[in-house]
Amino acid sequence: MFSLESITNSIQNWLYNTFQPWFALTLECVIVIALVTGLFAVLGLVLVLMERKVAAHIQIRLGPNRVGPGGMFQTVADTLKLLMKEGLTPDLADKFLFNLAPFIVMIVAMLLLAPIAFAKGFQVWDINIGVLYVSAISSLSVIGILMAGWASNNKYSLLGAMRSGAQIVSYELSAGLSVLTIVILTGSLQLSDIIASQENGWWLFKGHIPVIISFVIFLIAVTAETNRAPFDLAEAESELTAGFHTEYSGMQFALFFFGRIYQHIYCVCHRRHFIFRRMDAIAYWALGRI
Amino acid sequence: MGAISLIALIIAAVLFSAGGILLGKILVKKSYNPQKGQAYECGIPTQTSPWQQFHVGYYLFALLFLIFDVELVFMYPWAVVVKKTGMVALFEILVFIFILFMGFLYAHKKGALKWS
Repeated sequence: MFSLESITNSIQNWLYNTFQPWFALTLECVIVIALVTGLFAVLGLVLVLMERKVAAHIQIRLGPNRVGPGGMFQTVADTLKLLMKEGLTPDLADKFLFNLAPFIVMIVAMLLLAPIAFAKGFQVWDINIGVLYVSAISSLSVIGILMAGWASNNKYSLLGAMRSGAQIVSYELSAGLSVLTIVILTGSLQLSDIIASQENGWWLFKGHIPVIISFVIFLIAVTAETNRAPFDLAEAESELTAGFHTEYSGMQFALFFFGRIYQHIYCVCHRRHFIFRRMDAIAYWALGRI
Repeated sequence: MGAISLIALIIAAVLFSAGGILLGKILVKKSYNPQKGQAYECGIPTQTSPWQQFHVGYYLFALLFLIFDVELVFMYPWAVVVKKTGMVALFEILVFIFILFMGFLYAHKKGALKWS
């Protein structure tokens, strides 16, 4: 079994033996901040490219193939372009809320990272009500989206935000109820317990009919909640330009874009927690982005 | 790590977003053009403000969601102990769901889920 527990434990022991407790805690926080920010920066670049490539191949297109070998640096180029663009705020917009919204979306995306078990003992916080925490925090993202749509002072943005909110709200229940199956089987809300209970095989392949049903429901509900391809009427490009982030440009747009992708990753990660054992996460991220 | 990790994560998120936006602000050469501040709609000057009355359907959906979300929150602690408690817990949750289902039927009958 893939375990990083010894590494994290030894780092923690060294920190607490060498420094004062408060200083060790501060250092631990700094390490977490550095790791998480690095993860976000790399993931954003890799996953956008992966989505575009996989979606392109599904639709018998080539996808990005000009920048770098096989289009590898396409997202780097895109990010640099977005970095060089001026971030505009519409004259009539609610300027404070307009600029606050990307932060909210990003904070929600970051907070969802806390209970994800990347490997055994490699978790930011193994919170004992993990499932509840995930559903609580993930529904906070509606606030950021509605804030962005309302503050933009643009009818497309407002409509997109309203649709997005309504959709998230409608599918939240089915997603939550489908997760309940796993909680019943495991008898614990802690994510590490859920993973440990699947050490000798995934629930999905153990022949539980309810788990298979709930897996399908969860797959559909989470795709709808993150407004991905078959359920993307919230950002219907032909009628609403881009949905709630129509007015955003430059880095603020990039933050929105990345925030949504991270949320999707977390949905997939949590799906992995609930239904699968800890495993090659990248493959499942790819699955989720289709 | 304990609950302090949440503060660390919030700080990380704010640093990440603020860093990106600030880097953009530093790199970009600003230029002024009155058209940049207009709403990105159709190219025609915008007619009315979007900050006015909105479809009540969204509000009704949110209300219904609130009711059933509370039900869901009650079901999480139930799910943790249902194996230990056995048939009694199962019967109790069935009664609970039945009562809420009646409420759902009422909402449906009143047309709260219809988009008119």
